[in-house]
Amino acid sequence: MNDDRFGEFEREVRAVFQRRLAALDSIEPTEPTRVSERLTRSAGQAAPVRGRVRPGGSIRLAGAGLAVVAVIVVVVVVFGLGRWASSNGSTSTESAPPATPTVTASATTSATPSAIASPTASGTAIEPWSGLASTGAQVYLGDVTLIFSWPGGLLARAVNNPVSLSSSDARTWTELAPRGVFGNEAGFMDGIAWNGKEVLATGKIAATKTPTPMVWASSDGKTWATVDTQGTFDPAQDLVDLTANSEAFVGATQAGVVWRSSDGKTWASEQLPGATNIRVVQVIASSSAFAIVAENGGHQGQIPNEGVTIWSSADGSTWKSIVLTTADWGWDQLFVLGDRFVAYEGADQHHPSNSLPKRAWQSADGYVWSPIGTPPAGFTVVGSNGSLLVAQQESSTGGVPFVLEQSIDGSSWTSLPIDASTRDMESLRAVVPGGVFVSVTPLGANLFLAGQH
Amino acid sequence: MPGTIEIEAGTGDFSAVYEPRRSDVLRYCMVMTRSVDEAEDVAAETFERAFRAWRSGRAATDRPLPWLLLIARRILIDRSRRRRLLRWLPLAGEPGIAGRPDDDSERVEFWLWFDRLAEVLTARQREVLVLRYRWDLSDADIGRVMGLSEDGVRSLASRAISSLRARPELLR
Repeated sequence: MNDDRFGEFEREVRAVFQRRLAALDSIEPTEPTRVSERLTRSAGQAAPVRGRVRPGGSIRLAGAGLAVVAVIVVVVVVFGLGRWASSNGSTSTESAPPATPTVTASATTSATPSAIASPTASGTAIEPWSGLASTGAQVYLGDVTLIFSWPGGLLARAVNNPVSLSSSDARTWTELAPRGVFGNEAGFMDGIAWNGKEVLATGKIAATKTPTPMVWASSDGKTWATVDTQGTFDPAQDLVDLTANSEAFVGATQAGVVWRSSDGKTWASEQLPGATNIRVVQVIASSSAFAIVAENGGHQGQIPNEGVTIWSSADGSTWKSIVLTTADWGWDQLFVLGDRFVAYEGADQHHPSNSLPKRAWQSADGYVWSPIGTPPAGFTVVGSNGSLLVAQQESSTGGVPFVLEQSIDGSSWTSLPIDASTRDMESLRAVVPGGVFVSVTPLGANLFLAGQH
Repeated sequence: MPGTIEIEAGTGDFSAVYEPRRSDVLRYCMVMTRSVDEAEDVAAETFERAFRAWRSGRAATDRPLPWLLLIARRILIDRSRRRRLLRWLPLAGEPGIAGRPDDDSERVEFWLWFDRLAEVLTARQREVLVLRYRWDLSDADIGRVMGLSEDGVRSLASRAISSLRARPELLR
């Protein structure tokens, strides 16, 4: 390739990007009220800064004197005061944890790990991962965002393209027509779950200006039917997630309203006990329990600052909670491994180079937790197929072999063999319970399988 | 309406980190999230975490923009990892996506163009070009933000540019 010509072309690309991206220059924060609320809420916590809320008047920096600096710092305070105290070892009392009895993780260390069943995959040989070229619908899967999977198949959607895809084997994909699984209505799906018999989806359609809550059911992921809930399913907010086991379908809104149904037709809702000032981030089921994960202090767009609370239930009706962590670390995810839950802390967000080991826990019921081992430093657990956990090297990127670790017990980790075809593979996108791990490459619709499928 | 706040001195220096880069961080988050609301949320969290690090003497104040974008990117990745579980399958009118009736027409045009880019460039390729051309970050700084080596950055950008050669209509 001619370098000079390439340089000229790149200059052209640069000019186009700069011109196009200038369209974003008009974007400024548009919700000063919300910002002010954060400020007000955070003010009492900012001990080192000694901020205080006044009923009126202008923003000032006592002693600083420069109005422009005052405005700048105040906005920073708006953005950040909520977590200053915790980051410096101070105790924040602003965010109210759930009123239900809580047990900190450190207090549960006496739980006997051996009482938790061993994963079912123990002793199973793990075959190397290899690339699989997908066929069927000609949709660029390199930007597939979200995939739902269950033993009967997978659903996928391409970024920037409202096309839904279905596959029974992760190899052959069929575009669902017309433009999705729910007919011609505009709308969206906010939850989808499989209870062992059928796939149930929740969401809203917007035939009018008022979105209508909907429930759909499918046995194969391709043919869907509207479920008549007799008006019993009517959440005021979108569900954060929907999950299921053989006992029930359970979903939850961000504010902690739980929606439950044993058959998908008749629904009941309740507020999680003690759920105030939270933001639900995950709803998940094992074969014998449900768990709802919420960030404390994160409601209404505020910055979570008190770790996470996990509500658990055996039947989806009666809930109890524990505050699992108040650590300074970010929260990552909760997975199901065998018949238990495993939970992981995320990276130290404000100091990414921190290589201190993260903490991890396991629980059979979602209420009593005990610590377990973590993947090697620099790895994040990204998926479980029910019997195998996979962790991905955080710095993995296109152009170099994907680096993965695997664990069948949540405690000990070993390198997961992958072959050369996995070069360029990006992060895992979906996992079929009991089987397939799916990822994609930047260059096309390659999908990848792990062993045990 | 909440009141305003009065803050004593001693925190003003962070303004030198914050003020010149507030918009940059917000717009980076916009490109990554395509949602003004979420971008504001992530930008807010970014500066909050940056401020905590700054207060404790851990800030990379010599090269603040890559450092801030790295923090933002970490937050975005964390959120994205969780969002995989949300399994949105929007049909149309997805909240927060470009093309909303109230969206600025110039921005709508930008997002339509950005959508067309997605037909030939991956998210990472788009990101590397945005970092390189919108903020003129060096390959080393882009590498810090994206967790890549300089060679990795060059490779990613080179592939992206090669792909664009085949689609000249995207460069109008």
